[in-house]
Amino acid sequence: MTKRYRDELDEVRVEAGRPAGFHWRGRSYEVERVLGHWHEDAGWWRPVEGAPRRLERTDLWRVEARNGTPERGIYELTLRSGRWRLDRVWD
Amino acid sequence: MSAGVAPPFAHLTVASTFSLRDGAIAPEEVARAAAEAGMTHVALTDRDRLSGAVRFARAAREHGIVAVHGVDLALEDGTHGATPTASVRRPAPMVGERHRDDPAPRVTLLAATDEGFADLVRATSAAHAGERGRPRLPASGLDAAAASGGVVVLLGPDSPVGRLLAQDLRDAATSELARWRERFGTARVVLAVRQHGVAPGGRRAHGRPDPDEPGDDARIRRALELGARSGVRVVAVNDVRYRSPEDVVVADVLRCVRKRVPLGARHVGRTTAAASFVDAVGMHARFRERPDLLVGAAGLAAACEADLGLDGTMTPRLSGLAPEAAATTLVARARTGLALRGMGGPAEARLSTELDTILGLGLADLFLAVADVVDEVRAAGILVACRGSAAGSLVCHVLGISDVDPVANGLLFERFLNPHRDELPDIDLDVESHRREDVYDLVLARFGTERAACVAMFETFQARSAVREVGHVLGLPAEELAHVARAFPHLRARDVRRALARLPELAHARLDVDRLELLLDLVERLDGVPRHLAMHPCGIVLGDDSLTARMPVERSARGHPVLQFDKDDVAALGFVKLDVLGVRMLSALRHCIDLVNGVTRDPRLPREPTRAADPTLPGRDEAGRFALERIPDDDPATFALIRAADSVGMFQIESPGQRELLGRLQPTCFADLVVEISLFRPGPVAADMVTPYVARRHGEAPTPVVHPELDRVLAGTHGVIVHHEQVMGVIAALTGCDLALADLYRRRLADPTGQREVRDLVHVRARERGFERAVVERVWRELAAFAAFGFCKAHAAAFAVPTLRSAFCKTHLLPEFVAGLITHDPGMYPRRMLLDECRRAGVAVLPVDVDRSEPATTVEVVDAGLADHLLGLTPALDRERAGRDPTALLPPGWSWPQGATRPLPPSGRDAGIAEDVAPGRRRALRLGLDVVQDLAAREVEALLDARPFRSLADLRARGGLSITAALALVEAGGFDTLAGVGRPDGAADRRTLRLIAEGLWRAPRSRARVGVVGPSRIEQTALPIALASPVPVLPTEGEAARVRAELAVTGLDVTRHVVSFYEPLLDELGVVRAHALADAVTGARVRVAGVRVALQSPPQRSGRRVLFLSLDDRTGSLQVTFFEGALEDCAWVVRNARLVVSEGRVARRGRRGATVVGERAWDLARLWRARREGWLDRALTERGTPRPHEHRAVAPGTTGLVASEWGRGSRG
Repeated sequence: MTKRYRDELDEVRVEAGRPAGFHWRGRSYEVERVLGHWHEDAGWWRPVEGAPRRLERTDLWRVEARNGTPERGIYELTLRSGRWRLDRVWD
Repeated sequence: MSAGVAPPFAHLTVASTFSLRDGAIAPEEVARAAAEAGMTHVALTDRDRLSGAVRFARAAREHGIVAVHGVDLALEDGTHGATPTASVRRPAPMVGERHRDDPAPRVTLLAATDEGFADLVRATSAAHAGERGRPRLPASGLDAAAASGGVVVLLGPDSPVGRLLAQDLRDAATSELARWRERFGTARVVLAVRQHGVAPGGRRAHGRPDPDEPGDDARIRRALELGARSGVRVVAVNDVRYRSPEDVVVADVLRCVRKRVPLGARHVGRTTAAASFVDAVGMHARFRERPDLLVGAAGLAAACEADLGLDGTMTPRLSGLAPEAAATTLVARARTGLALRGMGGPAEARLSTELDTILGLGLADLFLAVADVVDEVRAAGILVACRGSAAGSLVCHVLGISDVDPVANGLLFERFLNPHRDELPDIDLDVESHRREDVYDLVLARFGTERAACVAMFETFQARSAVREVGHVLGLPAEELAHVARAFPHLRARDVRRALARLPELAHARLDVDRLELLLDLVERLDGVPRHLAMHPCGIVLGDDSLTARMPVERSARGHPVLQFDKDDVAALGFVKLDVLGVRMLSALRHCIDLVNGVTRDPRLPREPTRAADPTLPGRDEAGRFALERIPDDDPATFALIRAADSVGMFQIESPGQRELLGRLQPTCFADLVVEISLFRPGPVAADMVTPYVARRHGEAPTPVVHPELDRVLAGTHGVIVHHEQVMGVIAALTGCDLALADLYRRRLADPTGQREVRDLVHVRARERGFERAVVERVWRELAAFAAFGFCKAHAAAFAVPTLRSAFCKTHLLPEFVAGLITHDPGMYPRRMLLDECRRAGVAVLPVDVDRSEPATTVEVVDAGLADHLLGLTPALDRERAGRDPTALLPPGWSWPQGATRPLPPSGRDAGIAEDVAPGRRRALRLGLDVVQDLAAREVEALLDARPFRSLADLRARGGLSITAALALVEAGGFDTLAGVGRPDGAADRRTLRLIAEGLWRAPRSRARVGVVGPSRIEQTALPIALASPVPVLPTEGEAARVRAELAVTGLDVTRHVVSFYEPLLDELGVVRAHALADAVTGARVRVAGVRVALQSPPQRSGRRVLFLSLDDRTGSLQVTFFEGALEDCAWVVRNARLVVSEGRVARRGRRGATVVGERAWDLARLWRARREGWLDRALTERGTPRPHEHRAVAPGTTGLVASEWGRGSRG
């Protein structure tokens, strides 16, 4: 089943432009496989007061990962403005 | 991933700005981007049109890459087996006119061969043959596309196949694909896949997810699988819409402008900004596992090579005659024409030379065709004149195409048609503007739509429209937008920011700086982007039967065939163009002629002549009828009026600047008019060629003697190089080359490199031919300085013909001429100023009258007493009859010369006398029903059928007027006579009349018939008008309200000049009236006042901003110039007030007249209010831009006229 989160991830290891591992809720996860990589761009027409207007691309990564145990899960990570977040988990 | 590994790639689907409010990359940019990305080929596939093809092909050639031509067409229902996808069927929010994307599936067609391009053209035309504005490729169009086997079909995500795949309907997709393979052949059907990184379910973080979106990965997988299964090629594309990802903002704005919706995730039709011009490396990154898809795209592009035929010329084949027969016919007709014009001697030799050139270029057909068109237009009773360099051709003259004698006027054929150039000449015809469509129909009917079609014009985003439209999609308040937009009269979008900084009157606009920044940034980026396709106002392409295979055609709103190419495209393709320009002045002249002669084809005009047929008068034929071609070239009275710069209404010489030039130049003959028209151009004015010319002309400076051969060329212009023809003549004289070659050299003077080359050549040759070095140096300096500025003399001469004719009409037939001007409005001034031209010359203005007005404005011969009453002369005449001095009671500007029987109008001439018709009568202008804008054409017809009317009730019963029209007519004075307004037995005033009319028109018609409503006296028939009613001297509530209402419904102040209401204040302020300004001392400080009739801000050589304001104060018009230093104080008032008082110093440049250099400006209406309320002194200290709450000059309910009440009917 799908669980939704909105957790900021501090540690994400990136290799060859794709996430290879991350640290979430005290555990380390190793990415086994990248299942999908998509992106979307926020509406630039809603300017934030004072902030320079620019296109902000959000990268969505759907990966298969595990945290040392044989069990694998599917995790969706997003990258926006250099910040990683964990959005969904299927396990 | 390193660049070296990337496979070859070429973009096959690119939507440019010519997709019209969709793509944000110009075709030229596409070619450049491809070259920079190292591609060898690139395609342009715009939505529904091939309009960008020609400029794309040229740019591609420039960048050394191969252009692939294609088009992206929507399919008609029934041409495909696909059902619309669920996502399309789901209702979208209803906003705007086209609230969602066109739901039709689309295919991209690429031209693989030359024949394939022709098929593409025919298919595109077929797509536009149906409902206008909804292009759809029908089955017949698909057949056309498949005709030669030179077209490749690309089936992408939006194609019927792509949509079925998105729904995962594999079998349906397979059979749909089979249909396309059957029609085009498997080798020419290709599946296209794109990787925009769209996630399954569409957008996630913003807006609602789309459950029908399988995501790009799935779409690609299914297409690859289908391709493998069916043996159909699959290629990678990117559906490019903009150059770099940041440019997506422009594409978003364009799309929302097109759909007329606010910017929002729902409306931009994308979730990612991936449709940029990605290079091969980037594409490889997207299709890492399948580099073969990129190779496939490059391979397909390389297989597409279609030539548009950019370098050839198309000699039209219109007559159906064999080339030899056409040549013989042309020669015979030209020789006959020469004899008919009574020309011989040197003209014969010249005719032979011209004919040789024409026949050598194979253009006999074109000249015959144009001559036939001109004959046919004349036979239809339409005035037609040739304009431009074609007037320099004797062949055109003898065929009747041009009125100007090129031999007598020193016009050169080589300037028009040059055997050394491989360009075909355009021929420009001026016709009456209101008959232009008739001329179009006539030409298209004559040559057929296979060989003739109208040229398109791409309207681009201009500052004003861009500010409004971008502002709307950004959701900015309309009021702020109007404020910003109003400040930009036809300014290029990229100048917006600079202009804002320079416009003090905008300083206080209430605009949020951040959002204004965003708005202006977007407006700048939209600069020059084509917005929509329109019919070019004049161009018709003439070709042969290949026309429809080379240029796609759609339909204009009026059903004319319009090409998808503009005039530059058409010229690049080598087609000849016939420019048919509608000229309002010709319509006005026709109106004048018809009124004078009482003979007309215009159903709106009377059949009664306004003048006696008198063959002894100038401009009359043997039967005494007025005829334009009988107007003498040297009529003294006409040139006296021109020299007095009394030229408002005259063609080409009426603007304030031209009037100033007339004052300095003092023309005495046709040739002088030609020079004046040539000199009044930005170039000559900026280079100040006028000063030496004027000085030499008046003998104040010597005309230099340089060399006999050169002096001969420049004799007509006192040694100043004014015309292109003179540049050619000078070069020919110096080098000894012929004029055709000289024209080529002249053209090369425009750019610095060309100029250097020509300079060396001219120096060497001239020295060889014995010219002294000093002479050559000196002449060269002038050539170099003026060559770029000079004006084509043939063009000026062609213009000077209607100039002279209109001047003659103004001089001798003022009321009839002004009637034409009011009806057709050809000039730069508001029409109400023309009424004043009449009154200033003693011609009274009669209001609209339901019983007497014709549909258009006409001239009536009326009793002198009535005319004098309307001119405000009655009190003075009465006093004179009583034997006392009448001068104090004369209106401003009028005088009573010693011993005269009548007062003299301000203009110094009385144009109202109608003694030729009957003693004691005067001519007056009768406004037509068409000045009342709320009167529909069918209401006018009904009125004409039903009149005369016995009473208001009768009019109500039989007139067929709506209440809106009836009330507008009341305000315009249309019921005055019928209801006896101002008569003792009639309605007291128009206000009373309005109440009565409202009652009548609100009641059912049957009750009105028996006359229950309204006072019974209204039922009585008209009585003679009392002539001696006093004219009020002070403004009264009633008259001001009346004039205000007149302005509102007609834009014309019929009863009284608006300024007349303010005269007590003008006297108090010590304002100098226009007719007296000429006597003011130069440098003196004066105040002037009047209605703003023109405001110009021409670019100055210095780059400073200058405003030229023209004011009209009922005694004449005057100019006030505001230089940059005065703008801080004055700009707001000058731009926003309709009635202006200005203070400044008297300046003189010309021989006559004076202008004012403005230092202060006030709104007259505001001063009037201040005077009434007792704070005039304070009002006079005000300067600069008022604060927002003070913008309204006048409080509601006061006497003055508020600017917003002036709006309609006046272009001022």
